[in-house]
Amino acid sequence: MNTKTYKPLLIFSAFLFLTLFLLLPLLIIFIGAFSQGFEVFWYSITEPAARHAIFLTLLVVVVTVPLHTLFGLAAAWALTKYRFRGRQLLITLIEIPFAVSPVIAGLVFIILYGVNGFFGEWLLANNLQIIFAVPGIILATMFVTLPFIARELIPLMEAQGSDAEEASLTLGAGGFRTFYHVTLPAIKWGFFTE
Amino acid sequence: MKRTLPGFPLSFGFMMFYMSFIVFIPLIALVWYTMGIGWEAFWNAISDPRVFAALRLSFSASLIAALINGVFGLLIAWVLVRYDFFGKRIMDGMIDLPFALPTAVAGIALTSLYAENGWIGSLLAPLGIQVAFTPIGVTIALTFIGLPFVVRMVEPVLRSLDQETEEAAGLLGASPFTIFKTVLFPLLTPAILAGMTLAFARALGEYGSVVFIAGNIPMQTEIVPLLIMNKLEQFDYAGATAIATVMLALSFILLLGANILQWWLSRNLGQKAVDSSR
Amino acid sequence: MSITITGITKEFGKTEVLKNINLTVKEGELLALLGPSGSGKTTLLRMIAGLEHASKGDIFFDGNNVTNVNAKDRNVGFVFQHYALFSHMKVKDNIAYGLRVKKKKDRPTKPQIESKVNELLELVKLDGLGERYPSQLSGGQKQRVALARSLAIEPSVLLLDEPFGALDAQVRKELRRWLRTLHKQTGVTTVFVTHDQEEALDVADQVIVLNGGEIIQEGTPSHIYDSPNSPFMYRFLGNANELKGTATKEGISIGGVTLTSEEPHADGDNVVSYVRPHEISLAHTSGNDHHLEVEITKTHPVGPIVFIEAKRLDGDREQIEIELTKGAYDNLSIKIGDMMYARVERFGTFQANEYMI
Repeated sequence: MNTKTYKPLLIFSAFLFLTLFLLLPLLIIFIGAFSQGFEVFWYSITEPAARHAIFLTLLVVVVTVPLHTLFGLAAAWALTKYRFRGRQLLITLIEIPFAVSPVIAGLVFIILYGVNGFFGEWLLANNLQIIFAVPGIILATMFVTLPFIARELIPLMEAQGSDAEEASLTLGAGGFRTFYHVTLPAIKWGFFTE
Repeated sequence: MKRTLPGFPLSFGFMMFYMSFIVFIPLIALVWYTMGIGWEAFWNAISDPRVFAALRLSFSASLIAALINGVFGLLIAWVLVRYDFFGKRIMDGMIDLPFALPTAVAGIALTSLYAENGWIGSLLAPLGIQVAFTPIGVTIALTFIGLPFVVRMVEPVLRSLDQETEEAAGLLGASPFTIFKTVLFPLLTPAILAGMTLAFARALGEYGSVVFIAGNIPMQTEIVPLLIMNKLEQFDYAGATAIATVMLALSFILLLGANILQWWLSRNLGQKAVDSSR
Repeated sequence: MSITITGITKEFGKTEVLKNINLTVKEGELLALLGPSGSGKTTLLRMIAGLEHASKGDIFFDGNNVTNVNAKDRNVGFVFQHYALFSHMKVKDNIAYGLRVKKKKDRPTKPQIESKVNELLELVKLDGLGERYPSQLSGGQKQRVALARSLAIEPSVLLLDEPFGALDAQVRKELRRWLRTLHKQTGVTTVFVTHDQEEALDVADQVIVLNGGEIIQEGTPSHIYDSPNSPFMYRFLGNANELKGTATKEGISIGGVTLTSEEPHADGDNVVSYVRPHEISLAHTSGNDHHLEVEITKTHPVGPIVFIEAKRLDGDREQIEIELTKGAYDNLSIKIGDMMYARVERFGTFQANEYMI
C-alpha cells in the first residue's frame, strides 16, 4: 500500500547497516591489498603457490557444484512436494553441516580416513590418500557446503506451490541463482583449505 | 497428501544416498569415536568450565547475530524487491560478498575496523564501548558472515508474492502496518526463519573470521570451534571429539526445534496474526 | 453511491493510457467497462478504487471529491481477477478480515463478526465451507469468497476486475447470472471490467466501451448492440461483413445494388458498410428489393445455428459470412454451389477513411 512514505527511511537504514557491516570492512581489505602498490598485489596472485591455489579452487568447484545442484533439486523436490513423517528431521540434517564447524569437519574426516582412522588401513593397503590430498579437500568442501542449494530451493518451492509449470520455472531461475550461490562459497572454501 | 506428483522415489532415494556419504557416515563416525573414548574421558573433557563458557558464548553470540540478520535481512530484501533507487545494483551485488570472501580476510578487516585505533573502534572507544576482543566483536563477525542468508531466502519469496493480496487488504481498510503484520509477515515467516536458522547454524560453525576479532581469551572470548582446534593442536583427539559431539548434539536439537517451529508457524501464524490484532 | 469521473488522464511515462475520460455511474447501477486489452479499462477501475492515481482529473463519490483519498479509506469493495485471497487464512477469516482490521471504536464485536461472516457465506452459497483454506476451493468458489470478503465491509461501491476471466465457460455463465441476482439483492453501485462483449451485454445495465484510452461508445446493452457508432464497435462486438461501396443520392451503392440509407453521406464518398452475419437473409429468387447475388461455398451447422460462407458474384467477388437459424436453413434446403440472393436486413455505414483505424 502506501509504503512509499517509508521508502527513504527504509532505504537509509538498509544502507547504514550495510555500510557498517559490509562496506567498511571491504574498503579496508581493498586498501590493504593495494597498499604496497599494484605490483606487489600482482606478484602475490601470480606466484606459483597462489596459481596452484586458484587451480585447486576451480577443481573443487567443478566437482562440487554439479553434484550439489543435483542433490539440491532432488532434496527440494522430495521435501516440498510430499508430506511425510521425518520431513523436518531431514531438513535439519541437511542444515547440520553448516553448524558443524569446518574444524569439526576436518576432525571427522581424519577419524574416517586418517592413518589411524576407520578406513585408514584399507586406504593404505590400496595406496589411496584422501587426507591431506585433493580428495580430502573436495570431501570437506562438499560436507561444509551441502546445505547451500538445497536449503535455498526448499522455501522457494514451498512458496510456489505444486503447480508443475511454476515449479519448473522456479527450477530454471533457481538453478542459476543457486549455481551462483554455491559457486562462491565453494571458492571460499577452496581458499580456506589451502 | 500430494503424492500424485511423480518422482518421489527417485528424488528421495538420491537425496538419501547422497546424504549418507556426505553427512550420515561422517557424523556417525564422530559419535562412534566419542563412544569409544569412554564415559569418564568424555565427562572429563566437557565438564571443564572453559568448555561451558565457550558453549555459552558460541550459542548466545550466534543467536544474537541471527536475530540481527533476521531484522536487517528482511529490511534489505524488502528494499531490494520493492523499491528502485540509486545504488540498488551495488547493494544487491554486495550482499553475497560475505560468502565470497575468505573468512580469515573478513576477520582481519573487521578487526582493524573495530579495534581501538580503527575507523569505527576509535569512535566508540570514547563512549567506553570496546568491540574488538570482546563478545560484541564476536557477534559482529558472526553477523557479517550470516548476512546473506535471510536476504537471499526472503527475496525470492517476496518477489513471488502477489501484490494484489496486499492491495486487497488495503482496500478492506487495513493500514500499511496491519497489512505487513497480517498478510505479508505470515507469508514471509518461513523464509525469514529458514534464513535465520541457516545464519545461526553458519555462525555456530564459523572459525576463520572470529579468531582475529575475538582475541581468544579463555573463559571470555573463546568460541567452541577454537577450543576444539586448541585440543587438536595438543593431539587431544578424545577431548576434541567429545566437545564436537556435544556441539553437534546441541546444534541438532536447536535446528530441529527451529525447523519444527517454522513448519508449525507456516500453518498457523496467519490466523494468529489476525486474532492478535484485535 | 454515484461515481462521477471528470477529465481523467493517466500517463505512464510517455504513453497516455487514459485520455480525458468523463463518465457517471448512477446510484445502484451495474456498469460494465468493456474493451480490448490495453484499452485502459483496468487502470480506470483501479483509479476508482484508489490503487492508481490520475495524472489529471477528479473522481467524485456522491459529489465528494475522493481523488486524494487513500484506497483504504474509500470503502470500496474490490474483486481481483485472480481472487487475491489470503492463502494462509481460512475462508471465514478471509471474509472477516475487513471487519477485524477496523479501528477499535468501529469494530464489530466477535459474535457480530461471526454472524456477518455466516450471513455472507450464505449469500455467496458457500455455507459450511468457512473452515476451509482457499487452496481447497475451486476457482468459482474462490471468486465467491473474494466477493463475500469485499462485501463484508459494506462497501459503497463494488468494483470487479475481470471477475470471471480465470474461470471456465460453464462456471462463468453461472456466476454471471448470479452476479446479476446479487446486485439486485444488495443494490450496491457496481462497476466491472471485462473484455468479453457477451458478458458485458448480458450482465450490465449500462455499458461503456473503451479503446486506446478513450470512450468509444456508451449506453444500454441493447443500444450498444443495435447501433454501433464506429467500425471498431462493429468488429469488437462480434463478426461483421465489410462491404465497400460509394454513397449516392439514393443510398449506398455496393457492387450492383443500392441499399437505402438514412445516414447522410456526401455524394460520391467511398464508404464501408458493416453487416452482421445474422442480419442477412437468403432467398432462391430475387424479389423487388435490392439483393446481392451470391454463390454458397460452405455450410457449417453448429447446434441451432448454421454458419454459411458465400461468394459475391458482383463487384469485388468477396466472401461474406451469413448465419441462419437451423429452421430457416432447412426450409431453404441450401446446398453448396447454389446461386442465391442475399438481402441485407440491417447495416451501418462509415466513411472509408474511418475504416482505417
